Amino acid sequence: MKRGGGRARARLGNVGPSLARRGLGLLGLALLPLGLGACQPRVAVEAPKDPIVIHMNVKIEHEIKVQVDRELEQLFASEKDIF
Amino acid sequence: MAARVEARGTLVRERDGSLAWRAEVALRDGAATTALARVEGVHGAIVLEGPPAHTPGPQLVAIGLADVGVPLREGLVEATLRPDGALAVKRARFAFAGGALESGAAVLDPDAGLDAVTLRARDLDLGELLALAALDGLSGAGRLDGELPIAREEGALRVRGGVLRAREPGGTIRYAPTDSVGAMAAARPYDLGLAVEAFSDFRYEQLEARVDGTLDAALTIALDVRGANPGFQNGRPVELHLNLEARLADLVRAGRASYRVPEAVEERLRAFSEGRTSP
Repeated sequence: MKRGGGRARARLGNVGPSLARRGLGLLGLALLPLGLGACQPRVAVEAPKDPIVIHMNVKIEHEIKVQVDRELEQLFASEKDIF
Repeated sequence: MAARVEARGTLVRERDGSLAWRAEVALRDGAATTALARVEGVHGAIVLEGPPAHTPGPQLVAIGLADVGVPLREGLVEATLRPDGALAVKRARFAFAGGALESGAAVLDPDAGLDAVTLRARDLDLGELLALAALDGLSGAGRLDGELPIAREEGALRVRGGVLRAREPGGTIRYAPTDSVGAMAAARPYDLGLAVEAFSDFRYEQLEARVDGTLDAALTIALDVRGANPGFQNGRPVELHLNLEARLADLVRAGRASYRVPEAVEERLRAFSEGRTSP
């Protein structure tokens, strides 16, 4: 890898300063789309790393009653845009 | 107690004038009911000596069903009847929830009953355990191990500090709500609705259930699960802490499944019928 890089620099040195400048200009044009690409906004949505915590009490009788932890209920009520 | 019994034996008068006896007994389809358990399908070829009646060593007995509040099936028990009437269990194994419950040494005193024994749970099927809860739409897959310390308290068998844990990550829990629960979830989108959605296809990394309560009455199961649903909020981690209270005994007393006597016990019974020595 290092040797390849050394040869490229040697060739630029042999063709003289003007061609070397033109070569660098072409390289800059070639890299432009990459630069523009890097400016595009990200579309992937990354999930929050912190877990959703659910507390439930279930009593199985003849009917099923589900009670959600009051604290959790308050949290959801106060931060409706949390998700 | 009821059973079909065949026996043959010898009666010897000792030099001191006392009588001693030894009998080989084939027990088939025995059944008994005690205050703590109902036992059915008892099979075994056992050796008894007396008086007082006891076994000269551990004997192997197959038990089709031991209903201790929760039905334990396909049991294999190796135990010694001691001269004092107590049953010294060397080891016991019952099929349960697609896996097994195993016990090490324990003593069953006919007067005191079972004092304490720790059952080791091996390779239980989460799907079958969830099916015990008989909650429509709830299913799962995964294997669990654990320990269930059981003691007799106030005439009933009680689990105190039982723990079941997932063997490895990667199991699933799925809940497809019934119409009524679905309607409730739709009305409460920020709590119940979220929970229902998260568990529509939940993949757990950790699962632990703590079990306490009386086997033939209310059992409390505290379930802690951590994992994610890949289709819910881009796989955001979810922690569930569920306290489940249920009378499992009422739910799982379904019809008795067909039962086949294990080969080891069947061979002993065949040997008895043919007059051979038991293996």
